[in-house]
Amino acid sequence: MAILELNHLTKKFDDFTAVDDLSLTVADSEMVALLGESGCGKTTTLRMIAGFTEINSGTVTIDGTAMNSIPAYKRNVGIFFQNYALFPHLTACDNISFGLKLKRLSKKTIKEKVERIIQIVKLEGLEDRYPRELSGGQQQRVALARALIMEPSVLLLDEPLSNLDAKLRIEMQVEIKRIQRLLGITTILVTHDQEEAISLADRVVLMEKGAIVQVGKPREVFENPASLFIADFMGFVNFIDATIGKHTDGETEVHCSNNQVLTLPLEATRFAKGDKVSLAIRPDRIKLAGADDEGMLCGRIENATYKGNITRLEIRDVFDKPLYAHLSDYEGFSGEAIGVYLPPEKIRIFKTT
Amino acid sequence: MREERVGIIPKIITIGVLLFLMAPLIVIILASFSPTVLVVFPPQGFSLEWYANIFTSSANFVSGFANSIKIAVIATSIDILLGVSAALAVTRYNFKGKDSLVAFFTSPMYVPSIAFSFVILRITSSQLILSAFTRILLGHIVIILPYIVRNTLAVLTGFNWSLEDAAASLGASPRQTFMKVTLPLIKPGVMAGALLSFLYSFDEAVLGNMLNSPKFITLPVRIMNYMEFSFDPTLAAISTLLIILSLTCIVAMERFIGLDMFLK
Repeated sequence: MAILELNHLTKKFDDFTAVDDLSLTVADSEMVALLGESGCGKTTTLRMIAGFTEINSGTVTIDGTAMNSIPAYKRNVGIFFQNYALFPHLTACDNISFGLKLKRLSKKTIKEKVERIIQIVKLEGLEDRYPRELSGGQQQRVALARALIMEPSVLLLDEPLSNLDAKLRIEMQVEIKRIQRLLGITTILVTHDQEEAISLADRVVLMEKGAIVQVGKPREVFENPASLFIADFMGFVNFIDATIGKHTDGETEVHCSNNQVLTLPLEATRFAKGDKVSLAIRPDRIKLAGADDEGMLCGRIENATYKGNITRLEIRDVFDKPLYAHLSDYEGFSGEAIGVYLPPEKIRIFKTT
Repeated sequence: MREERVGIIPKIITIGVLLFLMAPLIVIILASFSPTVLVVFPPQGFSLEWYANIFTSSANFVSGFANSIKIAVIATSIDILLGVSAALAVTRYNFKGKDSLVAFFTSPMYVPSIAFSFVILRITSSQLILSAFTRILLGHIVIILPYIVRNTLAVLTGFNWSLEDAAASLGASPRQTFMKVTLPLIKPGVMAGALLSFLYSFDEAVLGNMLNSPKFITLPVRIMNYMEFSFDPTLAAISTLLIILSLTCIVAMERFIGLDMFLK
């Protein structure tokens, strides 16, 4: 349990700036996700907190103590590696107790701590197996236990769920959250998977080109991306080019392609007439509409892909670009006419000029 | 490995090849028990007199053996330190000239030992006077280094470096990380290289012959000298003992470390 502060952290590799003046405070027992594409600087930031990558400027502070000049093996930071990094020549039990043995604790204390952590991560019965004799999910739990048993001030998780299959992923999402809450360890999670970030973190930090571009609670970041780039990253597949039209009485006409005009409840001050914008909406927020429904837009199904829980529809003839909708429990056929409705409260608008 | 029934032809060929390879060794071992001075095959009886002769002969095989062991052990030990450090440095870090450095460490394999011996002989006879022991040792340190470097490099390619990061994150100092994580994992490669180096040094005749002195002669040279005036089964007896020595080393290695890495 500790407060982690990153102050104006910068890292350059020759000409390339991997992390650019990054500042962030993680509260005690909070789990924060660093979310972004590869190359955005999230892993470099993680490595600087861990002590594997030297900091060019700025500080990493844990509970008030600056870590810059403290070597990695002296920082009390626990790390979960994406490839687990389990010692292949040691059993699960020896892997987990590795760090404790270095501290020269008594055999009795070590045994107790190991037993406790094995119960917490549910690895009973597997203590004497070697990593190669364990399944992916079991290896993951050994890696987690190994880091947690050290009772670190800060826990760093590097893409913890990326190597798991779908079912295990859901299971471990719940487990990791539960264990983190139980032990109350301040945690930073690094991932490129927005679903992972949103389901695990208390706060999500979006990174792009070495800098933070948005911070917020998962719901906020998911529903209200701060930029077009973030919206794209977060899965707002539909981006409709449009121009702002006239404003009357709390409502604004927005002129889209194909001569479609949407009337959206926007304040007059938000945009000026003539502004070029992009309307972004998530495919799962688009609703089916009937002929009499207000605001219905007519289109034609070009492609329908059944994905089990939803059907992904590619709808043409509404705007010039295809519109993608995810409808659950819907059977659509190519060529069929379809009516859709874009709920205004789910449309995000970004200025493009 | 594929589960397939091996046909009869491949089996016959394999047995044939094995016999071909083993034949000289079998002949030597059998000849060493021959009661006659002339090496006769098939053997005409059984005698251990040639084994006894090893220890009593004026050719002084025992001191030759001791000298060869001394050189081989010391050279291999020093080269383990040098070779493993070199291999670790080259695989862990990225720097300009890395590949050239690796080529440099393995270059002694490509230098003819005659030429190398000659150069050492010249230098150590004029500019820098060294005892036979020292100059043979130095020569061996150079020529057996490639075996350790190459074998350690082989184990290190594909080494998961995040294991070292993991150890550090758990509080292991660089020394502890090396002793508890890195070394145990590269030990098979290092030991394989060390074995090859040891056997090469022990067997080495060229430097041993050019750089020896009356006071310090290695076993291969003793054998060569003995052959000049006597060609009796004592040589077969020595060879048999050396075969047993090599086999023992390999079996010990297999017991302690496992040689399955050679099957990969």
